[in-house]
Amino acid sequence: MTPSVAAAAGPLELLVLQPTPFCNINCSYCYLPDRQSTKKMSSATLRQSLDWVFASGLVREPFSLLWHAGEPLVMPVDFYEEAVALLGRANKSGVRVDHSFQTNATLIDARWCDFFLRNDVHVGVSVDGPAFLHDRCRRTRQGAGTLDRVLRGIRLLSEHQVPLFALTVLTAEALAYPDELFDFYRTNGINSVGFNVEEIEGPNISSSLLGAGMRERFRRFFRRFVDLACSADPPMVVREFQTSTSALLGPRYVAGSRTQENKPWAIVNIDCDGNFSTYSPELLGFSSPRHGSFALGNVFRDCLDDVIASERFRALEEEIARGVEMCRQECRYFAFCGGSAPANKFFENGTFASTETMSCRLQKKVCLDVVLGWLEEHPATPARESEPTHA
Amino acid sequence: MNLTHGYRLAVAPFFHQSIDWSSRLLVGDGVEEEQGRFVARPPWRAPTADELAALAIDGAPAKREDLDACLCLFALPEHLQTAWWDMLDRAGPAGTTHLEGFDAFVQEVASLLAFKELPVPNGATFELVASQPGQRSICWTFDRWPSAPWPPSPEQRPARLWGAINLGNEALSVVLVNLVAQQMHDMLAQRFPALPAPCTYGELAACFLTHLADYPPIRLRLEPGEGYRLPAGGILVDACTLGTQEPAVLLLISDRGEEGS
Repeated sequence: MTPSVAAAAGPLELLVLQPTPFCNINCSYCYLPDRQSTKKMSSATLRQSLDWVFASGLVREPFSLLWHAGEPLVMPVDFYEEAVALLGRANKSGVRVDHSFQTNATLIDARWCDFFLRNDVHVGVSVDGPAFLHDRCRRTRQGAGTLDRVLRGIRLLSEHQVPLFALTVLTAEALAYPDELFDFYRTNGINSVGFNVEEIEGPNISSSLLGAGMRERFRRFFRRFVDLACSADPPMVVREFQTSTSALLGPRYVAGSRTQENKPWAIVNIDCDGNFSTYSPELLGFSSPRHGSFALGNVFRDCLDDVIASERFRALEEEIARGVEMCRQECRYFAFCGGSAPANKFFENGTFASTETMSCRLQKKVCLDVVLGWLEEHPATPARESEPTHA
Repeated sequence: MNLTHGYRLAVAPFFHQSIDWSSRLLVGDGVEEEQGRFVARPPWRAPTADELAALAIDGAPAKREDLDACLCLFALPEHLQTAWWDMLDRAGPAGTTHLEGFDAFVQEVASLLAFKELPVPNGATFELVASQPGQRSICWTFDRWPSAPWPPSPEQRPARLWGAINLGNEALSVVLVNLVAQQMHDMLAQRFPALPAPCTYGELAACFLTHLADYPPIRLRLEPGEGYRLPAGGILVDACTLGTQEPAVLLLISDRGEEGS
């Protein structure tokens, strides 16, 4: 494949490889429609996927490789040992690649810890806090809670000194318990956390956060958690605090600038059969009446130039770009946000050419407001010197 | 005498505590006078199933509208308990009256309770009370000042005890009569119609404990870090440190009332 049209796309910032749709647990808010399927990515597909990515012309700067969706540790360690070796061979220009896993941690053992350490893997653990919160949603197919197994995995990571980042899905119930969540993280040696809201995606067609007054409840939760995290010794790292601070103190989004999720080919998602998509990873595996499947091609059959030139991609990009422009025109937070995630727009509003989503309201707007208030109350934080813009 | 339906015990909303009330509650035999004051009278026994149903709300925390009629149990989160012990470690030698960091600590407690929608009253006072171990009674008293007028004027908000938190490192017991002041007054009036009407909460308490000395008090075990908010209506409350090895420490939270706020 000769990089031509693709050279103008990207560059690749995030490669999401989905080695299996299968998940060994069955969370009530999960968006994966095929999480009971035990399909697995073959060695041939793995090799072809990596070759395709590096031949695409999208790899022009360091990027992150995230193994995600379903549970990536369902695949054996040997699969990933092979992946690392294949990546080394495919990555002829030696571009830096940061490895990440997003896991439920229930399958972690000493061998996994050794693999994570040797390959400097960033490990994200999905955990929703103490049992009364976590086990309410994160259950086995038999309905049993999973927290004990998650904590066993976290303990193993800690014993092997593998740094971890905890990702917690916030439901309406959880908003009443910032102190309990803070204590839970501290008790379990977790010092870096992020919050996702219970989103409406795929088969999860509703959210407990849709109720009345949620914006205020979320604001109170986030403000209290930020206060606790910032006053801890050492301070707890909160992803939303960091991203909001960066957004407030860093470059502004302007007309034409895009975020990773709404910029074409900044993210490439590849499933276990070699089907690939771009934009939000959550879109892969879904389709719409207007656009058909969001899988735009297959690494065995389709070259990126052809996909970019296809009417299907153009229509998709046109609608997403229109949605970004609508955000720019209508939302006073656009300069700090760059437009809502396409997957949230699609699943909540039915079209990419739309604006506000629940994630916008809570994770973007409320977090920005809270962090702005916090920064104003703590003026020792380095002041912004200029207002640069996103390229 | 048998327990009468009164206020009930519940876990405060937004505090996740799994309480086995049957293991937390004991029922006493009445009260007796000892060295000029009232103390709960042993033996203490486990409540019957009927008594338990009358005393405590099982399962889900109380609904908002039920809150004022309940004694609400809550617990400080781990980080606040740690902050308390860290503050004591940093404190000066025993006997100093000023506890460095106490104001900031109680502000954190108030902030937590406000977040949990169990706010302390405006201008609330926080007071540490240490008690010797092994005491049957600290002091039977109404949550209001003994001299506060009875019946209360609806226009006034008298000073009162709002609640308390066990800041010791051992469980202690709160001893209660499960009736609010009006119920005590009504029970006295029904059984002893010739008695002169009490004019203060102190007189009502003395009258109830003297004439209805067989009414069974209840004893609630309060674990370290746990606290309670009293129901509205005026209740008789005491504490007991039987079975403890070290001095008990209670953080009393009081509403200064209209005059004090």
